[in-house]
Amino acid sequence: MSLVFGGLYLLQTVAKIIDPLSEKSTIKAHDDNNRKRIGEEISAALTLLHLTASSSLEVTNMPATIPLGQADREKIDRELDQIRKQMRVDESEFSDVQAKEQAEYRRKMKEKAQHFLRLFEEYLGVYDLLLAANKAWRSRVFRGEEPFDLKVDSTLRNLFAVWNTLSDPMRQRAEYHVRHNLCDDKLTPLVGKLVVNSDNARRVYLTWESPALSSSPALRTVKVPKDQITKARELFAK
Amino acid sequence: MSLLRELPPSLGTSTAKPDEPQPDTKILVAVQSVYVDPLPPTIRLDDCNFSDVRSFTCGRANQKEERWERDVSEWIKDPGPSGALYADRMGEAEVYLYYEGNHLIGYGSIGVETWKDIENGEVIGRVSVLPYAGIHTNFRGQGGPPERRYGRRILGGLIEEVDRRAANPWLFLYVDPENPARNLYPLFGFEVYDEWPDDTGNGRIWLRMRRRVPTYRS
Repeated sequence: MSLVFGGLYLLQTVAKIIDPLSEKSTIKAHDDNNRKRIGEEISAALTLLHLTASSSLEVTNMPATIPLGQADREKIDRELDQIRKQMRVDESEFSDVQAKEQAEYRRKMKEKAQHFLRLFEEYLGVYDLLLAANKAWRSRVFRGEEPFDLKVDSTLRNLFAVWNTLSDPMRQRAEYHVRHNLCDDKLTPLVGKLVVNSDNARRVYLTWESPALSSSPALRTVKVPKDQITKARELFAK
Repeated sequence: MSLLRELPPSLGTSTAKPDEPQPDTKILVAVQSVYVDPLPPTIRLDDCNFSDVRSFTCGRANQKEERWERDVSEWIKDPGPSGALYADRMGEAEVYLYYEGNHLIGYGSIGVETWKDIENGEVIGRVSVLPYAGIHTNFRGQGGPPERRYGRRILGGLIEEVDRRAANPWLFLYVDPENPARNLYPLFGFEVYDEWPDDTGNGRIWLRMRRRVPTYRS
């Protein structure tokens, strides 16, 4: 008797598996043939059990005992064995599919991580460029090679602020990739650099001081007028 | 002591006979006549020691600072973008402080100046410069005989540092024409190059003095 109820439970479970509305149906739905075949086997099993498809779902109304002959029981056992074997095969195939899907997912994530790594390096590079541009401009103003321009001043300052605003989400994304080991440890030192640069950018922005011409004449670039060029060239020719 | 090889022969008074080797004697005499124990530039001005220079003055005690003295003291005290601290921080100059115990006795600075053709911006050359150097009011004329005075020892140390680096062929100074120190610099090998109008339009004229860097090799 336990075999019967066990079989019914099994069938219900299988039905649940192949039911397109069940939560695992998405996995089985990949293989329509399998589903059809298993459906047929369930019908066959139900026939063997002298049950209709509708009554099979009314488990609670099932009679406590079902009169079965020896031959019937053996046939049921054989059919159930086949179903179990088929399920093992299906599970195995499912594991393979799952493994392949996982491998594919990981490959795509690594691709994305590589793309992000390049983006991250470029982002850090922008900061270096920004620093160099700021220093060069300040130097030119300090030496009197270029007059102070308020527009350049505010643009540079804003660029530091914008860069700093983006650095936190960039750091979070980078840390996600590091956590999932998607960039072969290449990101870890760069994240450290980002944190340092971010602190510096914030400090530059908050303590911004506009440049000015050097008050010491010795530190300004000497603009040699035309009538003194020869004398100046002689100075350096000696 | 590369400086000494640049000194005019008149500064060295050798008593040796013509056939005898003379350089050592000449150098010794020259050293004694200009400075001894040069103070090497070692302590850089920074945010931490900037408070030491906040009240710096270099005029004579109880007297109003002269124009050229104000130049020196205002530059070192200026916390803004045209002063010494900013120049050092931005790598435009190196500013050094000198102490006797806990007391600031003065400062000096080293920088580089670029000469460009005003017409096309072409770089003609670069010279080393000593933007400003000054002795604190409390230490003016102090240290002993002239060659041991702090001013000479600081200047001597700066010149020797420039010689040691040998980065440029010339060392230049900008001196106010009325500054009596202009008479001291020739002892260190400086000579007048020209008079240069300040390019900020303030009407001032600077005496530019030059000294060849003997160790420089192009």
